[in-house]
Amino acid sequence: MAKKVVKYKKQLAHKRTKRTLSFERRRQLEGLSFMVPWLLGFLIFILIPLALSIKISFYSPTLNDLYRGKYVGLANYKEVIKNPSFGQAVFEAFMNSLYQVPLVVGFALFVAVLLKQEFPGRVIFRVIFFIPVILSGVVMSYLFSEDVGSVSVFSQLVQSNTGFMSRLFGGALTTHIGNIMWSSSVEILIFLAALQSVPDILYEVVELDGANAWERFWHITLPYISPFVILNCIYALVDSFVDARNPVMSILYGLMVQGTKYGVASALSWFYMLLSLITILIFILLTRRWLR
Amino acid sequence: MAQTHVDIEHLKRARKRRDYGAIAITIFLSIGALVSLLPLVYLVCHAFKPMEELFLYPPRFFVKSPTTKNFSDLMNITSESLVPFSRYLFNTVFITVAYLFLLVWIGTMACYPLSKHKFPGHKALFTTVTTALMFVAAAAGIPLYIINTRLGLVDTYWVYIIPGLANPTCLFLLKQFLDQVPDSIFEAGKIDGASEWQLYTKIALPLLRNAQATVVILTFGGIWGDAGTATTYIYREQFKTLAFFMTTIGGGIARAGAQAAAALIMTLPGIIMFILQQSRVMDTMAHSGIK
Repeated sequence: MAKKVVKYKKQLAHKRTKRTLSFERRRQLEGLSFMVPWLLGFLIFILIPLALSIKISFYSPTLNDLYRGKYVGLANYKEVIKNPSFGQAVFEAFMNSLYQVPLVVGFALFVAVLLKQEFPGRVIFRVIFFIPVILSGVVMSYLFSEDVGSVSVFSQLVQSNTGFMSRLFGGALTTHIGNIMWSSSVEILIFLAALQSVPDILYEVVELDGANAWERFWHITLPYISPFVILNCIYALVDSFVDARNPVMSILYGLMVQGTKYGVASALSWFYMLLSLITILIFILLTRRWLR
Repeated sequence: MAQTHVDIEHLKRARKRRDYGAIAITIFLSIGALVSLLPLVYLVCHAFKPMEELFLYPPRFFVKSPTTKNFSDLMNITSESLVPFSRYLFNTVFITVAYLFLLVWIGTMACYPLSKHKFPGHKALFTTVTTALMFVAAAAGIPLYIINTRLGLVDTYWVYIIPGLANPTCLFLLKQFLDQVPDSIFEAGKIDGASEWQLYTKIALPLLRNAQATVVILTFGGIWGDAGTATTYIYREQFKTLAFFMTTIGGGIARAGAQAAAALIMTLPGIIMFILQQSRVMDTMAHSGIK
């Protein structure tokens, strides 16, 4: 009798878990169906074109005959590696990111720490530092294409105040400073968010122990937000790798316009993407011990 | 008594020190803010420059004798366009509104299961999405052209709207924001018998309102100023956008002033949108970063 009851109970329990599982799974499927439109778009307009461009990078297609071009194996990749101008552009792009990323992240961190302080007009400053993000699409390209006598906006400013300013900064240097300030908007916001997550009580404790602002920054702020420093470095790396003003990008656009070199262009872009992925992976591996 | 006196002295000194700090911060940030504002100032100055200042060498940053001639030139050019100017304007407004509406709708729908149903493979999917961000869009240009042609999107309004709807950046942002919302809210809804659709419309959507504003602000500039799609995919003039029309103004020294005026006019809607929505945007950005 007792055995029977136990068996019955077991059956019931089994049934119940089975039923709740299927209910959960049904809910999950229902929720998943919400993703279908997005996934379809992602598949059709991003993944399939990407896959086709891998395929094309092994062929030598022409514009009328994109799919049935001649199979050339790794020839396109060989051309990419052999051509010195490609190699130089890739090298230049990487060197640019190497010096830009630390500067952008450092500047963003500095400004974010300042914007975190209490002072009058804080909100206005936060908005102003975000403006380059809005302008970026339309105006930045206009400003950078607007090279009257190949003089960029910044050197124009310098030359308008001739004398002191132009002696202080060379045209190229000011342009670099401007680039760095304009491309650090999103990083500033991420750091601001991170700084707000540092508990105030930590600052109070070390302040009681007599720590000054400098020590507070190095011993509390920086260790606490180190994951965001790494996140921002990765963001800045990606940003500079896919920047339209990058030398590799201009070569790619040039090859696209010619039309006949489409296989080489695909090979170059995949080669470049792999290099950037490897760089970012190495960076993540190196900094993993600071990630919490 | 003496103790209190010392305390007050100490407080006064502390207050003073902080004031110096605040002044230093304000000065430094003002310089930074000036540099951030430069492109905008330059654009405004440029639009009001008379012809001889536009082609001055060495060029001048600020305008010396401002004129509105550039704007009247622009008006003249618009009156002799191929299709009535209002048609270009209508196209751009229609495309922008439709695109942003669908983008937000599809994006929020996709981020809900990604954030709140930990289905098998959700991590792999999210990694794929974030890796796709890194790819050079130009390389996929020609396959994309073929796909758009096969789907019959070419030469219709759809080609502006559909290909960009699955936007990885937006999904990333929306998902990060929804991750902040505690699961227990959704569980409570489930216990009260809400269906998945109700959980999405009644809980997720209202909570994501700030994130939606951010997505709109960040993508507005791209779609509003999109001239490339019209150049590549649209043959019939009546389906082309305002941004495309603005690019046709350029070319020729005589029209440089009108082009500068056009560039200023094209950026104004984005700036107005941002000023209206800025508090929401700041709020989202402050949340989306925190894990």
